[in-house]
Amino acid sequence: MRILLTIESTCDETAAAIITEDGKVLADCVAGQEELHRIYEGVVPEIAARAHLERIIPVIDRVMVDSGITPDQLSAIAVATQPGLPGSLLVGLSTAKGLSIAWNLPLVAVNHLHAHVYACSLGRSEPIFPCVGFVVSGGHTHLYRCESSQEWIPLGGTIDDAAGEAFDKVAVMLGIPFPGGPRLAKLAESGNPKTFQFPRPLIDDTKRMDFSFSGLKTAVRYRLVSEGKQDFTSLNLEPQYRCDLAASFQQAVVDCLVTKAILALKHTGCERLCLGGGVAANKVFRQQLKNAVDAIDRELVIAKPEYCTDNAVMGALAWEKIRASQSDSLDLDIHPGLVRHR
Amino acid sequence: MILGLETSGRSGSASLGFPGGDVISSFTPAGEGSARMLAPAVSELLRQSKVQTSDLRAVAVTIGPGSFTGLRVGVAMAKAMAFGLRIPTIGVDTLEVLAVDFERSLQHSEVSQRVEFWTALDAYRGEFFVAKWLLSLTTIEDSSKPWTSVPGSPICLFPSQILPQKSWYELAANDSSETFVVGSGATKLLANASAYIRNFKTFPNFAPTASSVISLGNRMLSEGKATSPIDLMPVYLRGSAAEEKKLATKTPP
Repeated sequence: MRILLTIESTCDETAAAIITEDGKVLADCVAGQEELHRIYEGVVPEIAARAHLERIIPVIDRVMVDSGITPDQLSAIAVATQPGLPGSLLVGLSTAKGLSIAWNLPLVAVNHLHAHVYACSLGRSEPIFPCVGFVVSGGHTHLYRCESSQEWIPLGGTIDDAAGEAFDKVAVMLGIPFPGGPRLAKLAESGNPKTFQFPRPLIDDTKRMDFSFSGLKTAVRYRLVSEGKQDFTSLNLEPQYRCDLAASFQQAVVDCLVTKAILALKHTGCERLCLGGGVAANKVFRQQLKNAVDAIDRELVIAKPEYCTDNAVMGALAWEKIRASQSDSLDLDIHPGLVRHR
Repeated sequence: MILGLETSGRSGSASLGFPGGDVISSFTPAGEGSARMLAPAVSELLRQSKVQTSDLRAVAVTIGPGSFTGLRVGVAMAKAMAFGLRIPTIGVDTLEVLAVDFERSLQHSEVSQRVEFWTALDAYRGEFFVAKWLLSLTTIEDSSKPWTSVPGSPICLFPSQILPQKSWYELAANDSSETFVVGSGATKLLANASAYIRNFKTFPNFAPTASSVISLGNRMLSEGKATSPIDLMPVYLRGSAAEEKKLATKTPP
């Protein structure tokens, strides 16, 4: 049985996992950094890169010890090389290269977004391909047509903020510390989503499977403070007002996400939608997406909660490349930006 | 045998130091990031010299000051290789590496007695990474500092720091003789110096090399100054821009 070490450091989570060829997870470790970025109300790239470098060897050491696997039992090292923050990606890649030389193992590059979709296949016996892949997280909002594990055709994505990013930024306006998306969703549970009419950008454009959340975020801001103002600290909002605002904002985001996902299913004729990324944990989003997918008689697969947020287990995608006898050379580079196909 | 890595600047290098003192080096191509080409350089060095990774005793690497991203590439490689091979790492100061590079370029006759010099790198935003060194080929007797200088090792007179240009001028104005400044930051550092420093000479064409990382690494290894790969970290000498800004806004005017 071949065994793989996977490394993930695209944003602010340092992660490693040991995975067998038949998909068994022998060890899995994720070190987060939320507390380092909280006071900046967002991930600071330089702080993230420094923290990755401190954590990466202890994280890898942990999965080696937990799995009881010795280096000579490994068959390859997989590492996420795109997309992500350059400084963060470089720590993961340089570490993977060093281990590749030390242990004389092949190196396999993983696309972080493809891996988020692939997370839907973990612990599932039936294949997920072909499908529409949907990644919704703090850094990404993307739709793919996935013919196989090797063929990813971008259908659309956000043209500005990611969905999770919009959640976190609106949460800050309501005085919820970064990353406040999940707590904003909690507030929304007690709110009326019809209280405020927020815009749903691009929702009526049936030719585009793109998203835009920047204008929506601004609309929420103008609801709270007058134009040009940025200070939310002196707002004294009624508890119910906060809940209603959170619910109305959330509904606007969910409407956009669900509408474009259905459009992608109809456009491609795919039978299955595979959802990954941290925002997949949002209950309202999950439920409304499920209802909409059921209504057109397609299948919805959502990654297990522990594999929705950034993790290294989803790097199991590398097995598909290894089985196809593909590996990467030591001059492998990072690709921080998103490759947009228009 | 030890491996040396240097990635603090625009171009990087890797060297293998053999027990007899021989060193072979490989430079990453100019214009190519060391992130991409450092590992191929290391792999090629090992292959060419028919060295097995199991022959390595330690990995030495520049830990700063220098480009934050560059330092992380080298340190991450060093950590991973040393962790993978269960050997120690040795973190060396970039400005000391530069001092060794300068020393090695001098003919012995040029260092008749003692030479004091600065090494300097541009830290941008009006600041510089600087350190001061003393070279001597003879034993030095000084009642206040009873050290002896071994030929081939610069003695630190002023450890690596980040300084605004003007602060360094005030320091260097006290130099006993002509001020020598070595390193890629030298020209810019001295651009406005005339009001403070009358006699100076710059040596801007020196860049730290992995070969000098080997010299220092060997010395530190013999002095027991190795580090575990988990503990090895860059010495940035400056916080992230976000941290600096946060600190600045908290400081009362």
